[in-house]
Amino acid sequence: MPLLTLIIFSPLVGVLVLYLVPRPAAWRGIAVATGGAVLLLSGVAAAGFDWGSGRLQWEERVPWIPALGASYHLGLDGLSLPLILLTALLTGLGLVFSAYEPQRPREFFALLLVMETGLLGVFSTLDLLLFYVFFEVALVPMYFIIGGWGHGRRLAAAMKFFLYTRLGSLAMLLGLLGLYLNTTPRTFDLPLILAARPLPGTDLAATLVLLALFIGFAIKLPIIPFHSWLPDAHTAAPTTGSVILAGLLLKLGGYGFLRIVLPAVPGAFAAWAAPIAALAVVSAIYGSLVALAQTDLKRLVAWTSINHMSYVLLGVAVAAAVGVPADRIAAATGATYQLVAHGLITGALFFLVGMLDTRTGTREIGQLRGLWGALPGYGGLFVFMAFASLGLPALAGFAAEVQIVLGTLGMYPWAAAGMVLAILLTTALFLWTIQRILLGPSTPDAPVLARLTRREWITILPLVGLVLLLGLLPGPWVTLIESALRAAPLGVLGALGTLVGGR
Amino acid sequence: MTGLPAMDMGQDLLWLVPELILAVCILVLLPLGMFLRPARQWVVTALALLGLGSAGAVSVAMLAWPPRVIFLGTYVVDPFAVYFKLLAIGLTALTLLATESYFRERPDGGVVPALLVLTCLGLMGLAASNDLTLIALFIQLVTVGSYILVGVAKTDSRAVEGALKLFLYSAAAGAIMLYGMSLLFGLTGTLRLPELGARLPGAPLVAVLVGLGLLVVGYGFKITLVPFHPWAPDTYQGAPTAIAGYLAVGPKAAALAVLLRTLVVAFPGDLGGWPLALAGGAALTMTVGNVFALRQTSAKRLLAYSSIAQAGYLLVGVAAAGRDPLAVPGLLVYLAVYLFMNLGAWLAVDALERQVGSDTIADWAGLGRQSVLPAAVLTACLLSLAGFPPFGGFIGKTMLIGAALGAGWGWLAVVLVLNTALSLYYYVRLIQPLYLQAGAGRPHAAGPPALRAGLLILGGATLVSGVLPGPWVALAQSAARLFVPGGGP
Repeated sequence: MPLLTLIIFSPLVGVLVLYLVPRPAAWRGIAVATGGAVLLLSGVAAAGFDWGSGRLQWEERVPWIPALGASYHLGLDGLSLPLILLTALLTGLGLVFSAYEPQRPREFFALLLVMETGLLGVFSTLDLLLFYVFFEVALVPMYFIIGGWGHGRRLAAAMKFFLYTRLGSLAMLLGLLGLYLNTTPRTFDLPLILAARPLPGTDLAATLVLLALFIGFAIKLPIIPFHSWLPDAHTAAPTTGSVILAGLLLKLGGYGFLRIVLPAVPGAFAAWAAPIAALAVVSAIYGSLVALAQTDLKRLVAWTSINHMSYVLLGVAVAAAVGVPADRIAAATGATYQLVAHGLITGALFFLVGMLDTRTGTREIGQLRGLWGALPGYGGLFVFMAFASLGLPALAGFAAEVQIVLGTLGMYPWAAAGMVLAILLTTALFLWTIQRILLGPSTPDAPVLARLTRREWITILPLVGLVLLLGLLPGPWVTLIESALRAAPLGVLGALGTLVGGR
Repeated sequence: MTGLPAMDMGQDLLWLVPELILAVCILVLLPLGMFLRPARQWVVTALALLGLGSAGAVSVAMLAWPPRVIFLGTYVVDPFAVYFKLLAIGLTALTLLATESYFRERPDGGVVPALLVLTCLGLMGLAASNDLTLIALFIQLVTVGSYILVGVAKTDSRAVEGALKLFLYSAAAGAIMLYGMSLLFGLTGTLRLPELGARLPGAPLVAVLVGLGLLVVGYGFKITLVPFHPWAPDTYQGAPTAIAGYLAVGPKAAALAVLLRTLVVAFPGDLGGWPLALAGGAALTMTVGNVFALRQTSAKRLLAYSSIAQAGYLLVGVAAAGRDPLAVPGLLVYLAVYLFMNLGAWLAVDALERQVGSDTIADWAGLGRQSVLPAAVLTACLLSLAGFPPFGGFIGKTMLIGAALGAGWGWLAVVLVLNTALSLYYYVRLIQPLYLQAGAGRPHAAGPPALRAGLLILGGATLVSGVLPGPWVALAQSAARLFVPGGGP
C-alpha cells in the first residue's frame, strides 16, 4: 500500500474538499479532520514500522523524470519518521488552534495544508530533485500566511522571509546539482548517490558542494550570520504560522544536514567541522544574548530558536568530525533528538505567546506582570515549557542537549564549554522572563483575563505530554534514531545507514 | 554533402506541408478579414485556429519522421525544427484566443489573425533554415509581421512609438546582420550552414569573429540579448497586451533556435570562442533584465524586463550546447514552459488590464478575490517564471543551472541563481497587491470565454509541465539528440 503517498497528499485532498464545499461553517471541520487524518495515517506508519532494523521502510519508487535520473522515491527510516510524526502533530494542532480563524479561513487552512504536504514530502523523499520540489512547496505558503494574516510590518517581513529563504533553497539546489553531476551515471536518487560516493574527499568540488549546501541549510536553520529573516518573520507572523515556522520549517535545515550533507560530502564536512562547530557555538551564545535583550515576548522566543538550532548544527559538525563511533552516534542522535524536542517545546511556547496576545493585546514584556496569579493554568504551562526549553532534566530538551554535549566533549571541549555557557544563558533568560511576566503582583487596574478555553487546552496538552514522554523515556526514540544512523551494510539502501557510522 | 542536387523538389514539398497549410490559410484570411463585419470577425479567428490545428497535427506526425534536408540543402526538417514549429503553432493559437475579443470592436482588427499566422510562418521557417539567406528572409518576415501587429492600434500613440522603435531597431540590426553574412560569404563562398562549418575553421580567425559578431547582432536583437534589447520594453508596453506576450515568446524562441543551429553547425567546436562569449552575454542579459525590472510600476513593462531576463537564462542553454548533455534539452524544455508561463502571465495581465483599465500595479489591489481565474493564473505563471516548483519553470531552470555547472561554468550557475533570487522580488511585487492588499471592491465582469479558456490551458500546462515533466523532458531529449549538426541524413 502506498502509505507514504497517502500521507503526503491527503492534505491536498483536504484542500480540494475545502474548495468544493461552499459552506463556510463546514470549513473548519474539514480542515481539522484532514489534519487528524494525516496524524492518524502517520500513526499507522509508525505502528507498522520496525523500530530497530534501521532499514528503509514503506518504500515507494516510481519513475518520474527517467531522462534526468529522477524518480518518485519515498521511504522512511529512523531519521525521518520522528519528523513526519512531528509535522502531522504540529500542523494538526495548528489547525485546531486556528479553527476559528476569522479572516478568510478557507485560504488560511488551504495554505497550512499545502505547507504540510511540502513538509511531509521533504521528510520522506529519497530523491534530491523531489526533495527540492517539496522544500519549495513548503516555503511558498508561509509567504502568504505571514503577508496575509500577519501583524505590523507584515508585507515587508514576508518579503524578507521569502527572498532570504529562497536564496537559501537556490544555494541548496546548486549543491544538489553538484552531487547529481558528479555521480556517474547522473542520478538524483540519494541512496544511489551515497552508494557511488561521488565526493568523499576534500577536493574543490566537494568543498563547493559543501559550501552551497551549508548556505542553503544554514539559512533555514538559521545560523548566525544567516538568521536576520527569522526574528522579523516571527514578529509579523500569526501564531499558527510561527508555530509551523519554528516547529517545522527550521527542521528542514537540520534534516538537510543530517540526511544529505553528512553522508554525501563526509570528507569536506569533516575538514570544515571545526570552523562550523565554532560558528554554531557563536550562534548559540549570540542567540541567547540577543534574546536577553528583547522586549517583545514573541521575538524573545524566536531568538531562543536560533540558540537551540545552533546545538543541532554543533551536533552535526561533531558527527562529521569525530572518529569514535559512539561519540559520532551520540552527537548525531542528539541533533536529531533536538530537532524533535525543539519542535514540540518551541511550538508550544509560540502557542502560549499567541494565547497571551489574544488576551492582553500585547507581547511587550514590560507591560506583562503577575500573570501566574491571574491565569494559574496558563502560568503553569508557561513555566513547564520554559523549563523544558532551558533544558531541565527529565524533559525533552535535556535528553537532546546532553547527548550533543557528551558527543562534543571528546572532540571539541571548547565547543562543549561554549554550549554549556549558552545553555546557562538560556536558563537565566527564561528564569528572568518568568520572573518578569509571571511573578510579582498583577497590576491592580489590569482587566480580568479569560481562562484558557477547551480548544486551547486541547492544543497544548499533547505537547506537554510528549515533552514529558521524550524526557522521561528517551530510550525507544534514541534506539529508533540510532538505528538509522548506525552502520548497516545492507547493500545499496544500507548506504543511507552508513551515513554516520560507517565512514 | 551526399545527394543534395539529386533531390526531387516535388517530393520535398511533402516535408513542407505545415508551412503550405499556413500559407494557404494566410491567403484566405487576409482578404476575408478586411471585408467581414465586426460581428462576424470571429470567423477569421476560427479559420486561423483551424489552419493552425491542421498544421499542428501534421507537425506532430512529423516528429517521428527521419530528419531530411530539402531544397538544395537550405531547409532542414529535423525533430529539432519540428519541435519549434509546434511551439510556434501553439503560441499563435493561444494568442488568437485572446486577440479575438480584444480586436473585435477595433478598426483593422480583422487583419490580426492573418498577421499572426504570417508571423508564425516566419517563426517556423526560421527554426528550419539551414542557409543564411533564408535566415535573413524569415527574420524579415517575422519583423514585418510583428511591426504591423504592434502598430495596428494606430490611434494609440504608445503603439505607434513601439512600432516605430521596433522598425528602426530591426532595420539597423538587419543591415548589420546582412553585412556579417556577406563577410562570411566572402570568406567561404557559401551561405549554407554545413558548408560554412566545413570551411570557416580554415578562414582567418579575425574575419570569422567579425562576421560572427555582426551576425549575432541581428539574432540578438530578436532574442533581446543585452545590449540589443532597448526596443523591447517600449515595444511590448505599446503593443496590445496579448500581442506583446506573443512577441515576448515567439521571435525569441525562433531566434534562439536559429542561433543554436548557426553556432553549432557553422561554427563547430568553440570556433572563435563563442560558448564563453555567449555565456557572458547570458549573464549580462539576465542581470540587466532583472535589475531594470525591480522598480517598474507598470505590469507590462515589468513583464517586458522579465522577458529580457528570461532570455538570459535561455541563452545559457545555447552557450553550453556543446559542453553538457543537459543544455539543449534544458533549453527546449524551458522554451516550451516559457511559452506556457510567459504567455500565461501576459494574457492574465491582459485580462486584469481589461478589468481595471490600467496596468499600473498599484491599481490591482484586491483583484485576487474579484478576478479569480486571471489572478490565480498570473500567480502560478509568475511563481513559475521565478522558478518555483511544482510549476514547469523549475524543471527547465534546474536543467539549465545543471548545464552551466556541467559545462564547468560555476560562476554562470551562481549568477543564474542570484538572478533567480533577485527576480522573486519583482514577481512578488506583482502578486502582493492581488492577494495581500485590500481592494476597492469594484464590480467585475467574467471576461471573454475564449480568453478564459486560454488562461485555463496556459495555467494548467504550467502546472502539469512541472508536476509530470517526464514525457516532456524525454521528447526534448530526442529532439535535441536527432538534431543533426552535419545537416544531412
